[in-house]
This record gives sequence, C-alpha cells and structure tokens, in this order.
Amino acid sequence: MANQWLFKSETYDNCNCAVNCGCQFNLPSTHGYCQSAFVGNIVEGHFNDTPLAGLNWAGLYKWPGEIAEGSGKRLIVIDERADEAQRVALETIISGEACEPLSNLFAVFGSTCSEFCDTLFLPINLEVDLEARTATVDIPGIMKSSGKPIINEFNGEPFHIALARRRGSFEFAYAEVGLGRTSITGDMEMAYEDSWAHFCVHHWNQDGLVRERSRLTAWLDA
Amino acid sequence: MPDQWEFMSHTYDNCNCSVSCGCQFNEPTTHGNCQFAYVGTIVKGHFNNTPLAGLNWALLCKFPDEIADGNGKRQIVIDERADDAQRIALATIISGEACEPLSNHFSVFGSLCTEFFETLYLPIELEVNLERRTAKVDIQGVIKSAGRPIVNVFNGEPFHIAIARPTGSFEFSYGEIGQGTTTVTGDLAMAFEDSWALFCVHHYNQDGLIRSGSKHTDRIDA
Repeated sequence: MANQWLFKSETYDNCNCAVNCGCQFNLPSTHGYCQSAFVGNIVEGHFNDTPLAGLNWAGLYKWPGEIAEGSGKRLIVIDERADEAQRVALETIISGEACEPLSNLFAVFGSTCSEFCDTLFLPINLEVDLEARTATVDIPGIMKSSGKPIINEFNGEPFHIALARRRGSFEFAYAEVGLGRTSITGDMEMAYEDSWAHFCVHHWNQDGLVRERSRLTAWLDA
Repeated sequence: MPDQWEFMSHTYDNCNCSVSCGCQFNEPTTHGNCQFAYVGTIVKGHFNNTPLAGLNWALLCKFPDEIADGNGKRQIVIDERADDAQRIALATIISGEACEPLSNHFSVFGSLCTEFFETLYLPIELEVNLERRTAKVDIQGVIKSAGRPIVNVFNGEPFHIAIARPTGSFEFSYGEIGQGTTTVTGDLAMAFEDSWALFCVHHYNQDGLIRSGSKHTDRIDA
C-alpha cells in the first residue's frame, strides 16, 4: 500500500519579492529571480504510523531566475528533536516525495531544483502567529528571520490583506500577507528585507491539499 | 438629519496595472500612473426614501501618477433609466459626498481628483458575473470593456485568486481577481489590455463599509 500521510503546518514564508509577489498571480517575480525560506510548525500530522505533530521544519530555496525556469538549489532543515523515523518521514514529505506528482508546494519546488544540499538536523526556533502576521525564526548558524504586518503608509496602522485560493493552488486555500526580513548563511547564503511574507496553513496529504476549512478564515463570518 | 443611504453593487473594475496591482498592497502602481474604470449594478440600495436597486453606474478616473499624488480626472456615468431623484442620489454617492469623509472608495478617489467632467446619463450595458470573473460593458460613445479570468500559464486553466481584506479596506472585504481590456473614448480617453480586473461587492452606507457576509465570501467555506 502506498504511504498514507498528513501534514498540517502553521507556516511562515519570506521571499525576496515585493509584497505583491508576482508568483502568486501568474506574473514574473519582482526582481527576476526567486529566493525563499519557509519555516513551519507541524500542528497535526503523521507519516503512516509515525506521528509528526510538534516538530518544526524549514525549506530554503534559491533559483537563478523564475522558479519555473528551474536550476534551483534546496536545503531542508529538520527539527533535531525528531527521532529516526520522524526524520525520514519529514525528509520524504519536504522533498516532495511519496505524493501525487506536483500535488503540493514541496513537490513543485523540488521538481524545479537541480542541486540538493545535505539535509540538516538542528534546533529550529520558531514563533509564528498567523493571525497577527508575526514570526521570529532562529536556526543557529543558518538562519535568522522575522515577519510582521505590512504597515499602511497613509495612517501607520497594520495593513491587513490576505489571498484566497478557492481552487487551483498547490499550496494554500488562504494566506495572510505581511513583510519579512531574512538572513541566511552557509550553502544557501541569501538575505532580503521588508519583502513578501506569508502566513498560512499548509494542509496536505499524499493526494494534495486537504481543503478542510482552517481557523485562518474564521473572520470571514464576522 | 443627515442622509441615510445604502449602496450594494456588483462591480467590475479594470485598471491599467498588472494583475498584482500594487495599490492593493500599499505598493506603487505597475506603470507609475493609474487609470481605471468601475462599472456596477446596484443589487440593493436607497438614498433616504429613494430606491436605487436595479440601476447601473460607472466611474472613470485618470491620475497622472500614483493615486495618492492627486490631480486626478473623474467622470461619472449614471443609468439613463434613473429618475430625477435617483440621478441626484447616485451622483451624490458616487461623488463621495453625504458620507463620513474617506469612508468608501468613491470618497477617497474623489478627494484626489481636481478635474471633474460633466456627469453623463446614458444606457449602461453591463453583464457581470462575480463568481466566474467575467464582465462585459458597453456605454455607447464612452466605454467598451470585457473582463475574464486570469489564465494559468502552466496549464491553460482559469486561475483563481481573490483578495480578502479582513479589516482596513475602504472598498471591499473580498474581491475576485481577473483580467480586463478597456477602451474609453471622450473626455477620459484611455485604453488598457489584459490588466488588473476586480470583481467585488461594494457595500457601503453613509458611515462606511457594511461588513455583513456577502455571498461572495461563501466560497471560502467550501
């Protein structure tokens, strides 16, 4: 029987685009190339019989041009608290394996990469609040990042905008948008500031997106 | 007693930005200037005792630079089927008057215009389907426009993305995004093609946005 798994993560992403990141709209990236760092906390999940909840993960990517043009470089970082089975499970999922081809972001991004760094097992300090659009990330020796709301330039207030993807997304059904700054050292060296950040629930299984309504859309009823 | 009114419109907008229109994100416009055409049909509304449902309207604006830099030109078109009281009511609302200052997009845009062309009373042919992201507009001698979904460059399918504004918007709480092509002749001659199109419910009263859940957000629950 094929692998059965569930991956539900509260995820913070910061890329080098402006906060109207073209990739979200089927447009070119802001600067003609993409660099992106995803860091998440698994709130619910398993890989066959291996439980995954509570573990953190990161997926770091660099492409020389647009993502779709390929030649990307990838580094996966897995929570050092994961045991052997969990490490194998998470590396499999984040590599984009054991799923319908191109059925989630990990699979799509993995298919456009041609250089794969050795997976690291490290402490991943992550504080993320999807609703407040804030995040702090520290992976010692690798990455520092922080996310915050966009600020409305006209009144100084936090600016609240989100993207809804009713269908067709390989990543999320709903994502809050904010601003982030990231600095990465080592094999994946890159840095950007006050650029696109998104805060979303990644909710996938072996077949693709699980479209169960997440709490992140609750406000729409208000 | 101040005027009491309600304006609920199914609205199609096409501007000259790319489909990641910076204005939505507190970013600059795509081309450094803003030109747009809003056309809507009122599905529910009144101005004091004057009923407004069933009438169409259009708002055309051209700004030489960013909207916030001002110096805009504006032209309002009102459904010729409107009687005298309805014409006055609609001209008042669409001018951004009789409301809390800057509490809706008519008021904000109006505050940034310095040249106001004569309001026109004409037949306004509008077919708009918010869910399908399609629209067709014909105001003879003034505007022709058509809106359709963004097409996914990778698979040729309609690309479904929407913007949600949980708080802070002076225009909508949920807007579907597509692309449109518009030609305007006359006082506000302008033309743009395959650029940002918005399909949303404008739901305002004299105090600002009315945030009752519109059917346009139901899809998020699906």
